[in-house]
Amino acid sequence: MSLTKEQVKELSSMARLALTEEEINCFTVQINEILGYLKKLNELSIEGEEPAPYGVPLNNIMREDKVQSSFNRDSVLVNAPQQESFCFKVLKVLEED
Amino acid sequence: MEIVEMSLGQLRKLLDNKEISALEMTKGFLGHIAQLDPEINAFITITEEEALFAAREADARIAKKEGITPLTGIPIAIKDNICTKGVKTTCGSKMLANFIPSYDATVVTKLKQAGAVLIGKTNLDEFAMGSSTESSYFGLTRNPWDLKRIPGGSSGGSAAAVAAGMVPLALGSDTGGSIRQPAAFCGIFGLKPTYGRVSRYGLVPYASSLDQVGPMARTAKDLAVLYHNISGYDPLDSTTVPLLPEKVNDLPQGLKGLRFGIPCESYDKKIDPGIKEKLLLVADLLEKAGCIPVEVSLPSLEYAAAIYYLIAFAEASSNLARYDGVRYGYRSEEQTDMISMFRQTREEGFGREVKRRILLGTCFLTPEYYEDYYLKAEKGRARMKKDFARAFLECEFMLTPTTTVVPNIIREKTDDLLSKYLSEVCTVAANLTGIPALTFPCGCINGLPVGAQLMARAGKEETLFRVASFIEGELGVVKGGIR
Amino acid sequence: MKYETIIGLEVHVELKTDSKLCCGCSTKFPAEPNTLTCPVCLGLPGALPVLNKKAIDLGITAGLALNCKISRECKFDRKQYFYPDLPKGYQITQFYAPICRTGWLKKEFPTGRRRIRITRIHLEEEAGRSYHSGAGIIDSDYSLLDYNRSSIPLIEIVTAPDLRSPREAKEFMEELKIILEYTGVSDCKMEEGSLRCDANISVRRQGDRELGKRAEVKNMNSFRAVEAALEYEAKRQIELLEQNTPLESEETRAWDEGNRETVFMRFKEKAYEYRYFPDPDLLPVIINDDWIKGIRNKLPELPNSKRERYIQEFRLPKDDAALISSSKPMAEFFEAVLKDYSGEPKNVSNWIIGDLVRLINQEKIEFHQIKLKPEALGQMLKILDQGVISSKIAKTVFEEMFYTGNKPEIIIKEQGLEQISDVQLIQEIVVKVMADHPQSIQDYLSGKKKAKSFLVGQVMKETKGKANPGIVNVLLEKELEKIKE
Ligand SMILES: [Mg+2]
Ligand SMILES: [Zn+2]
Repeated sequence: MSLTKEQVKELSSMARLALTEEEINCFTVQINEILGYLKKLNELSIEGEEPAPYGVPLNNIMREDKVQSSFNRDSVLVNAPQQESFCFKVLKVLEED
Repeated sequence: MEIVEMSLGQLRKLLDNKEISALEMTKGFLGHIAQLDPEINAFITITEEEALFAAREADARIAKKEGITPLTGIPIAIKDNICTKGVKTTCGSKMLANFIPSYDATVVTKLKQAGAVLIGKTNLDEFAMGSSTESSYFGLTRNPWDLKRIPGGSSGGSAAAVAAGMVPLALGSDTGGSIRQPAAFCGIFGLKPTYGRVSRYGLVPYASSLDQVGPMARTAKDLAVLYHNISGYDPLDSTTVPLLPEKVNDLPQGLKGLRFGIPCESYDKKIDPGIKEKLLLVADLLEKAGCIPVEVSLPSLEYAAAIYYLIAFAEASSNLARYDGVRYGYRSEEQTDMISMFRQTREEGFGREVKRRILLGTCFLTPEYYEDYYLKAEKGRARMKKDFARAFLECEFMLTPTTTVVPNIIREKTDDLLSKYLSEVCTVAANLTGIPALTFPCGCINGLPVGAQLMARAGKEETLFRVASFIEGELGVVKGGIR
Repeated sequence: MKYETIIGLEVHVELKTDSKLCCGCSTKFPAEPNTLTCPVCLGLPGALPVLNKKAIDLGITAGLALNCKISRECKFDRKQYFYPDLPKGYQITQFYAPICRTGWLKKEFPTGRRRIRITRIHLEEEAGRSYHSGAGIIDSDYSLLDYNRSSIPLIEIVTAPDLRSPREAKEFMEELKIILEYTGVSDCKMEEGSLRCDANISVRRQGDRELGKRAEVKNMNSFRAVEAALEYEAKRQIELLEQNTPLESEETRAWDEGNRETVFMRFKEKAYEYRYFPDPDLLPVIINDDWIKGIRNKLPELPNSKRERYIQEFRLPKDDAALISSSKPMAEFFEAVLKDYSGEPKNVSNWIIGDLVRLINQEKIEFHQIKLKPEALGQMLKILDQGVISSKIAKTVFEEMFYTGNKPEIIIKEQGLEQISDVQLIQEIVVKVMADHPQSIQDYLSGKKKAKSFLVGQVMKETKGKANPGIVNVLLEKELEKIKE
């Protein structure tokens, strides 16, 4: 499978990246190069293997339902690019397309 | 000998015998940093004030002989993708250039409790994505052995700082070799611990199922001490193993009877002949010490890089979705509404390599690619784990090259993506299988350091420390980085 | 032409835990904005989730109450999308291995009893809340974000498209709410958003096999809104069908309560935009038989079976049985009264449905907050049956018990409310009243029957309502007869 420029554009919109035309051109070539390399994986026999998406073979790691103190609100908002009335502030939502 | 050349044990003795105070020692290292770092650029932030304060606290502890640990009063550098309360944590990115966490990573908490002196935050490839420390928003880091060359990456700042004597110890993070490759390039020791032995809480994630924080040092013993101080179960990280922290051993030297394997697949590749020669030298030393060489084979090793890209980039695309300019970090001025704010913020806040990996990872998780790419990789990882488990029935540890090349010249290979990625082949296997892997210096080629890698079964870091310590004793310390 | 409406629901239910799904922040409501947050629920870099076991327990509980299969392997996935109220850029949810599958809820509809199939139940975390500067999302200049709700545990219950009318959808929701409250899974407060539902609705010509394109309707904030919104939407789709312009692609619509219509929001996102994959930060939860058995053993009797038992065992009328069993504290109260009181169960339900519910509504409290003890009501009913107090006095006693929580015998004694059945005493009062009201006696004798009731009333007044009215009547009649003669 290889990707067209249009498909790369679609990916960038999914990933919320406003790529430049130059980036799209360049990434399209590079992504296809890597996708090509990844075909190598087809040679590896994975018959009967179960996906293992975790780093460690443990189960049932849970905590009890106990309330712990939350963070001080000043330290919560300290990095906010914009704030108002103790809330994070963002511009209005516009529907895409 | 200057303090900048000393091992942890030597520094400890100076402090405990009150030949030097922690404050003086910290000032000494800060002076060394001030002198060298303008050229090397290992640090993004130097926390002079906090370090001096911590040093005074350490002196108070030492004076009272209370709560002294091997790290009390010892300066240490932290990779800048590990959160430090009140101190900028940038991940080498414009996106987090002004981000000040209000919490410490668990490893940082542990170091502070041990009385270590956190002296600064080190440079890295943006969001730890890279192997050269050239992609940081804060400029590239140079290899102290040869300033024209890269230090490796992504923990290049930590590796360069330790190698140059700016600190005796540093923390790095390793997702596919990001501790071991720069450690090898800078001629120091580095450990990627067993997955789940060191808390990831506060480590800014790149690929969550592969990331581990680990120690970097100039001796095997120092490496072990730092590892023991940061490892252990953490209720804040569900993926830590609920075991007590391992105790510090005196690293017995006897290796008689230990079986070691050199997987044939790790040789066959386009490996630098000089590096191969060093590796065989190490194998000889091991044999002379009574270790038994055995033949092992890891058929899936060839696919490690492909499996790694698929898993790491997929996870990265998800882990980096939170940088949207809403709650913290960079926010673009170019916005007319919320969605354009997201798009512009991420476009301007991320560098090229990060965007490339996000796009690839996004692609792998779409339904068209999920089954045939992402899921296949996860099954491939399961196959690799089996391969390794089988090999470890035959041996107690394995020896491989850490990298197949020596550090290249800065900006030399940045466009050859695949060869850049593929140089990680020998290290990614340990991340994919969750086992511990340690790199140690094993000599030089044309004045550039070479590293070799040891791998053991999950939880068997002790074996790695013992072997590395033995070889260190045989080969002597390589000090070409100290400036 | 007859049309058929096909509805499936996706119900979001906030679980009744003290702390959030992935961190220790409190779930209390309301609270000052952003005071119940931490690095985990704000999605700050490096923070990691740790699962709340109670949320899993409640997920299993809901599954058992809805006759589901409980998964032995319960895993968490990331659902990726960008929205400012979603702090990590993904929601922790269950896509590939939900906690429960294939269950059902039996429900008595006007058209008969049916099983509504439950396709799946999955656990997930709540998002934060945004407040908009303008009247709605679209016309606001900016939004303010509060993450107090972020990462509160939810279950999403997905039904099969088994509902056949807006009314059924509403009634299903009501039944579901009762069950979830009963089992302690949720508070189910629709007004606070702890119970919400989205509906997938399509229409087809009767007899057609193929389902029409469906619309997902959101933003229905009450049971009544569910019915109204779906009625509107069904009508709209039928009209489109009649004009031969049926829905062409699936769309998401929002119920506009003010204008009483559904409004187009967007065409449904393609599924791949969510890019689900297993969350590597949360390890699988293996649920074994013992765990399930432990929860099953603690499961209360469910409203359905209580309802039937009340009809069979206590001979309650259907409506009484349904009403009392619809609230767990009410049903528990009812059953507790019957432990002490061996009289007619209908007497008990009358008092609960009548005076008790009236007083609770009047005082704007919740059932579980009442001071009245079930033993006290049982005792009062006994005393009433014995004729110690009149049913009129009983109302006074009941109100007093409701407000003070005191025992009836104490109230009766302290306020001297026992019924007077002493014939001699009543006789004296009757005589006195007759002496005091000669005009009324004249009226009675001249044929005005009403005058007698007046005299009875006067006797009752003299005795502060405590005289046994039967005895008063008999005695008064006797005296009046005497005068006649
Ligand atoms: Mg959902
Ligand atoms: Zn929280």
